[in-house]
Amino acid sequence: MIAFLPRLRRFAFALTRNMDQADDLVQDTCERALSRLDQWEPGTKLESWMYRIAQNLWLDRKRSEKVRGPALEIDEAIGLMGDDGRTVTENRLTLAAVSEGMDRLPPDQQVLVAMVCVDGLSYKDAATILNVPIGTVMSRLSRARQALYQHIAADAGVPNPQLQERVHGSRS
Amino acid sequence: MVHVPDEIIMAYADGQVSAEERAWFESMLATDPALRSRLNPFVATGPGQFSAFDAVLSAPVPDRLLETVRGVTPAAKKKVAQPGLFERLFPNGFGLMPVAGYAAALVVGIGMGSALLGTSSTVEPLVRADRDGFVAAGKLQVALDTTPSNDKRLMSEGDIRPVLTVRDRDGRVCRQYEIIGPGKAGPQGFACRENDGDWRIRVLTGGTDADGSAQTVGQNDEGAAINSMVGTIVKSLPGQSELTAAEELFLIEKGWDGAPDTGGNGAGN
Repeated sequence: MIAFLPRLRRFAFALTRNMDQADDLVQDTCERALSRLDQWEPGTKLESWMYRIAQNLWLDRKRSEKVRGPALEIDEAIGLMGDDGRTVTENRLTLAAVSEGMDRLPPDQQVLVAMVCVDGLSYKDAATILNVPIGTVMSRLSRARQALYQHIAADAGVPNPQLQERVHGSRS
Repeated sequence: MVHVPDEIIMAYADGQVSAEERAWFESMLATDPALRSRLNPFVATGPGQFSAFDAVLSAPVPDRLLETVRGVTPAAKKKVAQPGLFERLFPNGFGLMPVAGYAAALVVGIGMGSALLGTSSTVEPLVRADRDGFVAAGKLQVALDTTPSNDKRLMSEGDIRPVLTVRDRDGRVCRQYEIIGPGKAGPQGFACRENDGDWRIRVLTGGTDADGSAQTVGQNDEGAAINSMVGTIVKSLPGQSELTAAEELFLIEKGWDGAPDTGGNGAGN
């Protein structure tokens, strides 16, 4: 479980976009997992089970928050990224753009972006974790990414060259 | 013109298509320029474009998370609370522990041991102290009473897996066991069955964690050595003989009340 913590933190950070909230979510996830180990089916992936717990906890939290302000703490995230100025700049802006875009997505779509785009899970693994058909994963995720792309493309101040090229090359 | 669904375009962008699907899609791309502009949003938002989040992977994991996973509650962690635990369990100190004759190897872990000994409110104690030391309780007692050795299905964290059963030179049945933990090696122990049915703990370790920071008595890097010691100690006990699986099963079915050295089905005697 310890070896899985960095990935779980990244997943939680992708959902919350706030390191403190991400660590709270990871802590709650681990506590719940440890207290319910008897519910984990040996032979299935422990990671998948913990992703399911984490996203359930996060969705519960989202439902209980009627109004939610932006929880972005970019500077804190930048603090994790080392001293390469160029990298920091690119990451900073990309993180800001992506985070703002994700803020506008429905929670179930944010979960899919975090699982597939950030963590790199396959559609099939995501479908297994969420216990939904793979077609549902793909249709939700494609809608999420089109919306995310619209937001990023509309963000005029993104100097990431790769993203710029894609953004401007496609706005016709 | 064939309409290509967004989902297929996305799957192509993400590399989650078969070779045949890829070939088909690329033939479509060649004949339908509009497809390329529909592809762009998915390429721009695909895996690999979210590296901004990857910094978390190499960032140090906060202690509070590590402690949660190791089962150390904030109130019971590290140096402050642990001596209290031992003072409660062993008011007379270690000197009175009945370890003579068993290689004087009573090793008590602290890290995983806190969960093992039931200091966390959510964990049922696995051992209980009495005036002579401590004996198995709760799930540990049940496992020693009823679980055959080396059940490979017992692999999730928290499972108690008896490793082997021996009969010592006095005819007592003793079992080595381990508790599956999150690290390289979970807590291990060695317990012998008394006439009253209690499993008296002879050896107990706290286990080690993957990063070597287990809080086992002694130095951290000794944790693994201590754990491997359990097996060595058990195997080196004088006059003991390992029971076969058939003998063990026979005794489990009889509630461990078989006469010493009869060995049930007779194998090994």
